[in-house]
Amino acid sequence: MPLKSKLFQNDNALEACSVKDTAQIALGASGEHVSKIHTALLILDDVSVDANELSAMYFGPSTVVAVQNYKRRRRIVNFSNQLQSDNIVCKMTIAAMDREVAAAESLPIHLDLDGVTST
Amino acid sequence: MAVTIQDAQLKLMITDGDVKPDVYINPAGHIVCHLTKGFVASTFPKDQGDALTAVAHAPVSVGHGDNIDAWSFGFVQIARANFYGAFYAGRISREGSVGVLAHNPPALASPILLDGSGDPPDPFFQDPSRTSYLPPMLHTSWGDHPAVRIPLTMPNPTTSGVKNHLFQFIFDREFWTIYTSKDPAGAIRYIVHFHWKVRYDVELLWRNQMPILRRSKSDFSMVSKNVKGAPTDSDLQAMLASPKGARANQTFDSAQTQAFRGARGPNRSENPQWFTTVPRDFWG
Repeated sequence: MPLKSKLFQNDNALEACSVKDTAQIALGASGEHVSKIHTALLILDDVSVDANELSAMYFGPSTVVAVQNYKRRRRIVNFSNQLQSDNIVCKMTIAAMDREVAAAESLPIHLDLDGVTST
Repeated sequence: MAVTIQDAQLKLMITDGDVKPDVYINPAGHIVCHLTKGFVASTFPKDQGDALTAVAHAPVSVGHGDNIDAWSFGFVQIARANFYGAFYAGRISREGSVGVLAHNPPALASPILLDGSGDPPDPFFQDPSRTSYLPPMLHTSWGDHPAVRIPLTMPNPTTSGVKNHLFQFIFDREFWTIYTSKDPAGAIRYIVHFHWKVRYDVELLWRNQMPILRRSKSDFSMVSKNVKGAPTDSDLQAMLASPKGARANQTFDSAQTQAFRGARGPNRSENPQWFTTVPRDFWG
């Protein structure tokens, strides 16, 4: 099933990750697909990875931590071979991220404008 | 004989020595550009002190049978919003950029605004009851503190709603503050004025997800003092002829709200890539 979010859809690496165990994304990966995962982590968990990893579109140590925390909060665990969340973007992870990002994209933008004023 | 201000002996004293444009960055979500003196971050926009003040001491002669209590004396203030731009960017170019402009239509129909503090009667900036009359002198005080608060982040709908971060804010305004009388029939006479400018112009960068002031080119300047009569700028004449209507703070707050929240268009652009003006190192 193709990815639904505007952020992820039509990205070959992410589409592959969503259907193939062999296409999972982990430490050392780099490219546009990793950058989109960085964006998703900011949208969903308000977590920004290390600036160097961000600019290099690199799945480095801070991305590892952010992904692991993302999965832990949502209890994304492959119980067939795991007892706790790992730090790999697997089929279950990308599906969850895609679902959440698509939901966020469909919501009206909320903007708290109590802060906007001039005197 | 009517009530007559002795213009030649009128003294208008302006205190602006401690005015210093600055920016308060609240990492929880906004910045406040202010003029330092009288600024109270914890209560803004309420309970702020005046940054600059003025007092007019005007000798007045009152004709036999005339009642000075039927006259009003005070300051009228006209503001001109020259530019208001808040510019946001994603962490990388692919996360987009947002520009908010609030000084132009449709958010702001006219940049010329009748200013006011509190809820004074037209056309005054503050309630004319601030004027005291100790024969033969009228004493009228005035004070202001133009400041502005805006959010540090803006969601960008063109890039999945990801937060874009403030990297530049410019708000340029001019003010004409005019000592004015209003007779019992409502006739207005502009007696003397001063002209001043406030430009907030700040650039931020972000480190470890925290905003830091990179540069401030903010400026306060007193353009002219003790100028007899009304301002002569052509774009002010309509307001000077009919100084009434909504006050600048309400009008401009509404313009800002529309610019930030209203439809995309002349007052807000949302882009899938960075503006060319985004500094490469703004996020780190």
